[in-house]
Formats: sequence, C-alpha cells, structure tokens
Amino acid sequence: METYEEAEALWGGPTLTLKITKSDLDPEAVTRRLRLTPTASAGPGFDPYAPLSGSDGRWFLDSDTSGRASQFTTAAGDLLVRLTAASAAIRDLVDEGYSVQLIVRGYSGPRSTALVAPEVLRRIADLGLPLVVVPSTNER
Amino acid sequence: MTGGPLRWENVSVALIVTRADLVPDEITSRLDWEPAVARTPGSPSAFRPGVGCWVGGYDDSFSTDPHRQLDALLARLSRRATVLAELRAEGCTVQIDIAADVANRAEFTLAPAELATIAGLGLPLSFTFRSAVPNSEAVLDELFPHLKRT
Repeated sequence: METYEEAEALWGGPTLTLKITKSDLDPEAVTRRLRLTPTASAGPGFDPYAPLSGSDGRWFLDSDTSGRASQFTTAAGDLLVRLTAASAAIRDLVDEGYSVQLIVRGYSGPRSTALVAPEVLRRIADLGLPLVVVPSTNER
Repeated sequence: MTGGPLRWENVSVALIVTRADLVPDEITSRLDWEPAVARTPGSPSAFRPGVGCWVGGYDDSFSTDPHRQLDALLARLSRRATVLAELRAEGCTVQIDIAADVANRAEFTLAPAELATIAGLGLPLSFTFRSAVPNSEAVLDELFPHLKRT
C-alpha cells in the first residue's frame, strides 16, 4: 500500500489526446465526419519513424500543449467541449469498429501526482470512451 | 519489445483525505473505515507538508488486478457519498488516487463504466507515479525512433 510519505509533485506537460485507429481508416473521412482538424493523421501503412505504432490508419487530436500542469484542466476542458459537440459522430465511429480512446500523457519525475478534476472526469465519462493514462518517465 | 504495452506494477488505489487541522481518528470514525495511513498535522513524513492525512484503500494483498481494487474502492465510496460530501464542505481535500510503479510509457486504461462511477462521485482522480527502473528499450525508442527492433 502506498503510504504517501513523500511530498507530492505535479507532473509536467500533461496532454489529453483523442486517438482514433482502424486498419482501413481514411483520415480525410474522419476529419469530415467529426468536423475537427486533427493534430496529426496518417492513412494505413507502416511508418518507419514510429515503428511501434503499427500499420493502422490513425487520427489524433491533442489538447493545447502549453505544457503546464496547472493549465491541464483548462486545456483538457477545451478539447472535451469540442469532442462533446462531435459526440454523435464519435459514437458512430465506435459502432463501426473504430478504436477510439482518450489518452492522458505527461512527464513524470521520480515521483509525481497527476490530477484530473471532477469536471474533466464528468465530460470524459459523458463521452463514454476509455481513458488511457501513459506517463513518460524520461526527462525532456 | 513484445507482449503489448507495459503495465503498471504494485498498484494501490486509495481514498486520500487531507486538511491542515485534520483529526485522523475523526475521519476513521465518520467513514467507519480503518485507514492504512493516519497522520496528524505536522508529521515529518507527509504527502502534503504540515497537513494531516488519512488514507484508506486496497493493494495487491486484496487483488493483483487493479480494476478489482478500484471496483472495491468505488463501492466503499458510493456507500459513503454523503459523508464524503460533508467532508468536502468542511474544507477537506478528498481525492481518489491510483499509485503505481511505472516504467516509461506503461499504460493503464480506465473503462467507461469506471469513469462514470468516479464522475458520479464528483471527486478528483489522481495518479501517483513512482518511477520504476528506466526502461532501456523505451529510452532507445525515444533516441532512435527510426530503428526498428524485433
């Protein structure tokens, strides 16, 4: 059991990302259906610069990465408002077999705490998507 | 790298209650719950320096499946929703925390049903990352992303 004997420290550069993948994903079709412009996207095929990403087509939309933990709630909230406006189209994609996930990433020091505010959790829960938490332990 | 994404290790899930003038025994009594940690304000080792801290929850000794730990914790919290709301109204900081040893890029996924239950409780959710031994493969991935290894 964690005994919380060390002082908490915030993690760095937290980002919330919507990630959509499917073997035959057409990025332009997803962009059109969600009426949102992706941060990055790629059609199906192996990317030698991202060998661990697999060969599925992929479409990503990031929250504003101004990078301060204190701004995560605002940045994530802004993204979630945009996703909530597209929630019907997002549900359609899930029903059609697309993998749709929300991903929280951040840089974690030797010990750090990442906080997700109740209002952010509420919006994530309303979207009905899984939330993947991925700390990066490498220094930038 | 094989076997899919890395997992979080030694996970524990907890309710954490802190306040500058916290009386841990009072929290224990009102929640009717034996804490794993009960520290009065000013204890030398402190999550929040100078602040009293009450922690209750589950770890590997209950189940090595973090989702089973979380389900059990959320059931306990749901039964105590009224007291938790009172504690917050009285100025306590109340949060759900998932602590784990994490390697670089090790993933943990919360299911929609888990998120809905947590959102319904209206409590913040936090993650406490204890660094695991640096993952040399992951370091290489960051330095040399163009190198494909099998």
